[in-house]
Amino acid sequence: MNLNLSLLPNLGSALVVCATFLYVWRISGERHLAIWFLASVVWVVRYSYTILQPALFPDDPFWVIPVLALARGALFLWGGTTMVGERIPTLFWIGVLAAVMWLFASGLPPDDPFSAFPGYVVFGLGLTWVALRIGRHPAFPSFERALAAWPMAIYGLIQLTFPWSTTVLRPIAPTTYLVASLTQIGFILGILMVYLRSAERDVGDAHVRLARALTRALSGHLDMCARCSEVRGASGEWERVETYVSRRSGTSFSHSICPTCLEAHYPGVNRRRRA
Amino acid sequence: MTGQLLFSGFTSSSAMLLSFLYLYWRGREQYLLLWAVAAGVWSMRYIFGLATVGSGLSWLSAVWIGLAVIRGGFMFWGVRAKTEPGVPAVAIGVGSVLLTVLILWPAVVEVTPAAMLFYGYLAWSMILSGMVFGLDESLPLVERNWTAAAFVALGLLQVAFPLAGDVTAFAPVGFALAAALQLGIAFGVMMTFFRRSVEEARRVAQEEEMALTRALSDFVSICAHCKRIQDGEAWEDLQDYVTDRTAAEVTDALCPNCLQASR
Repeated sequence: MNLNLSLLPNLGSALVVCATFLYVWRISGERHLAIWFLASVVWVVRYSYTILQPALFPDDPFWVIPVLALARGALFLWGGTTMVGERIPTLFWIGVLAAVMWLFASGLPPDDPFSAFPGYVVFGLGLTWVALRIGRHPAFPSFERALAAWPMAIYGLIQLTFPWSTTVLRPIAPTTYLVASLTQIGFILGILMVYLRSAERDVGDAHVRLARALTRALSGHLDMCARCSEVRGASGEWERVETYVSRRSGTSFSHSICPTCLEAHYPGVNRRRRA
Repeated sequence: MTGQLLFSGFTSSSAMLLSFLYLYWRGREQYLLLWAVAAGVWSMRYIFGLATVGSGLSWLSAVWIGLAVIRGGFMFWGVRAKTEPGVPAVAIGVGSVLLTVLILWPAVVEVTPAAMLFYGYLAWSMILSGMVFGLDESLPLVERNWTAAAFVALGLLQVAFPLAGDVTAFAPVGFALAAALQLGIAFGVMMTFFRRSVEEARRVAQEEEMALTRALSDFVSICAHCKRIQDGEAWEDLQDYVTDRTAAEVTDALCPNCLQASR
C-alpha cells in the first residue's frame, strides 16, 4: 500500500496534543480546552489524510488541506478567545471568507504555492494571536505561559512558509514539518505545565483556607454587651449570643444555671439539682 | 526518513527531559532529576544519530553504546533514589542478566552475548523504573499505571531490537514506537503529578468544609442568668469560651436596651 509515511511523527504529536486536551478538559472542565480538543481532532484528520492520500485519494482534491487548515485555525482561535473572554476578531472572518473565495475562484492548481496561501496566512496569524494572548494571560504563571506561547507563535509563523516550503522550496519541507511537530509538543507541554502549576496554587490556597478555618470559624471583632451579653452583628443589630454563635457554627445551646448563679439567685435550691 | 525518525526520537526524549526537569523543579524529588539526566543523555544520542546519518557509522558505535550505558545508569540511580531503603545494586545487576537470559537466549542466533547483555541492561532499567513509578501509592492510580505501562513497553521495545532479526527493516517501526512511548512517558508523568495536585486541592477543600462546621459544633450548656458556659466541670466566661476556640476578639460594650435600662 502506497502511504506517505514521512508525516507519521506529526500524526503522533497531533495525537498527543489531542489526548492531552481531552484529558485536561475532563479534569478541569474549562470550555476552551474542549474547543482546542476539537481543533486537534481536525489536526489528526489533516495528517491522517496526507498519510492515506496516495492510497485512498489519488486525485487529492485541491481544497481538502486548505479547508482543514482553516477549520483548525477557526476552532483554535475560538478556543483562545473563549479562554480570554473575547469575541473572535471580525478581521479573522473576513480573512477566512477571502481565503475561501480565493481558493475556489483563483483556479490555481493545488501545487501552485499561491492556491492555498491566504488560508495558511489566516490560520498562521490566528495561531500567533492565540499565542500572544496565552503569553500575556495574567492568570497564568509567567514561566509556564512563555513555554506554551513561544512554540505556538513559532508554529503559527511557520504556517506562512508552508505553500512555498512544500512546493517551491521542497528541500526544506521536511525541516518545517519537523519544527512544526517540535513546536506542537512544546506548546502542549507548556499548557500542561500551566495547568499543573495552577493546580499546585489551588493546593496552596486550600491549605491556607484550611488553616484559617481551623483557627477562625468565628473571626474578627465582636462587640458584646457587658450586661446582657448580646452581640452586635455586622449590620449593627444586637442579638442574643446563643443565636449569633449557633448561626455561624455547629454549636447548639441548652440553658441551665451555673453554680454561682444558683447560689446568688436561688439560695434555697439544692446544688445537686442543677442540671 | 531515518532523519525524520531520529528527529521525532529527539523531540520525544526532549519532552521527557523537560517534563522530568520541570517536575523536579516543582517538587525537588531527586529521582526526577536523575531521570531527567537520563532523558537528556538520550536526546544527545539522537543528535549524535542525526549528525552521523548516512556516514556509514554503525548504530552500535562506541559513542552510542557509551551514551546508552550512561542513560541506563541514571535510570537505575533514579530507581535507587526513589525507593526506600533503595533497590540493592545486586538486584539491578541480577535482574539485568536474568532478563537478558530469559527473554533473549532461545531466540537469538546472530547477536553476540555482549550485545544481548547490553540490551537486557537497557530494558531492565526502563522496566524497573516503570515498576517503582507504578507502585508508588502516593500517586493517582490510573495515571501512574499508564505511565508505568509506557515505561515497561519502552523497555520491552529495547529487547525487540535484537529479537527482530532484520534490524534495518525493524528500525523505522521501532523508532516510531519508541518516540510514541517516550512522549507517552513525558505526558504521563506530567498528568500524574497534575492529577495528584488536583486531588490534593479537593481533599484539602473537603477538610476545610468539615473544619468550618466542626469548629464549634458541640452541644453546650449556657447559664440562663450570667451566660457562663459549662466546660467539663468548670463554668467559663462566655468571652473566654469564644476567644479560646475561635479567632474572634471580644470587646465589652453596652447594647441599646441595656443602655436604656441602666439610665
